[in-house]
Amino acid sequence: MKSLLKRSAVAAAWLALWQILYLTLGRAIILPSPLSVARRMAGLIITLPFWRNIAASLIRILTGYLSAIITGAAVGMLTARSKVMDAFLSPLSRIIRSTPVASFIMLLFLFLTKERIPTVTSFLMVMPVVWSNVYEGITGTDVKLLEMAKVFRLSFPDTLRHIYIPAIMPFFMAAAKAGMGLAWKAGIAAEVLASPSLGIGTELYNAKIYLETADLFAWTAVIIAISVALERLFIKLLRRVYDTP
Amino acid sequence: MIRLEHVYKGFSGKSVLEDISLALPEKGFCAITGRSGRGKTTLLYLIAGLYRPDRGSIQRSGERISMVFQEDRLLPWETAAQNAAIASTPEIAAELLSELGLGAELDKYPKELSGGMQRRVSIARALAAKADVYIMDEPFKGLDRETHSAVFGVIRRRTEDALLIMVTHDPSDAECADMRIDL
Repeated sequence: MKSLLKRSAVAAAWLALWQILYLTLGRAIILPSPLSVARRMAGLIITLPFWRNIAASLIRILTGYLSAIITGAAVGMLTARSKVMDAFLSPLSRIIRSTPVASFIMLLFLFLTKERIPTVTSFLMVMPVVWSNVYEGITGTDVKLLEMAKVFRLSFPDTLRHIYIPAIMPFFMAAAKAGMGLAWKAGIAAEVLASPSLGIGTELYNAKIYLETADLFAWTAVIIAISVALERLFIKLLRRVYDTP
Repeated sequence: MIRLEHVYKGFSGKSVLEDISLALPEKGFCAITGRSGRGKTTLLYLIAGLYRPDRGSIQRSGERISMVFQEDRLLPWETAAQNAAIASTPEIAAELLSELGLGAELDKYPKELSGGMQRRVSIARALAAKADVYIMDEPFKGLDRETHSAVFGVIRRRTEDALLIMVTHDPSDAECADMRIDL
């Protein structure tokens, strides 16, 4: 209760600051008032296209995110187990990690339709993070526990279940959590640049083109709300699947 | 039968074991004694197959090995019962934990147990696994005299039909041995 009060007070202070800035600037086209953004948001929520845009973005970005989780975990395991594969694939990870998201989006225009670009962008942002974290988890597994497994003749599936998976889980959870934010932000950025027929990014782009600043703010608020909700939901799901003491 | 012939083992250019030859019986209690740094643990690792000799040979005839390591090596994310059952069944593991005085601690995680209790969980894990050779590296480390005697009794009873190889610094333990290796 105390924490809720504290958070409400902080939010109220920021809203007040926003209102002061709005009054000082006096130009709604640059900075709309909090009330006009709230009104615009209320107006958007009751329309069907609003939900269709959100659904389209969610499907695209979550597809990229989940594919990245699966691929990143698989490649992480492969490179941790095979030095040859590690040497062969690690430059790829470094290249993906150091390439700016905007470059990726532009490059993807050459190969993909605009509907697919956000999915692949999200995938490329998340996959190396999961890959490196799973790699760290496996290579950092306590050698003494692995020796214990060898002495007790544990099969590979049992060693995986008793030792590797619990050792990897904290690294995997951290990557999954960080990756959710990355996928969402990169996916929306890709939508802004690619402008698929439906999507939050497309709406952001349109709002900017038509100078509908209240819409721009309202959609940004939606993006933040969904990002926070997705992160919390995913971590809750992961904890339900695997809870460590 | 396990037989070591002219075995040499060293680390980073420093010799730890030199020209060790011995034949271990199929059953009984073999105590390994000696001052620190004389290669007792290295010898156990060679017998367990965790190390390979630099020179010489080790012959085994497919014996199943179980081991109490110098450190407990418990899985921090599993309970005492789950740790003890890693190479056996939950029933055998629970029975052994009870015999070792941990009947009330089955559902506790290692971090919730004292050092002596953790030691006993690792002993339970080793005894629960069906084996022909039980290797124990200072199993009574951190146990008080009374617990030491009780646990030693359980170990002797449970390894009657197998070979027990134990590193110990306690002369009274070594006195009970059928065979003694002094390094």
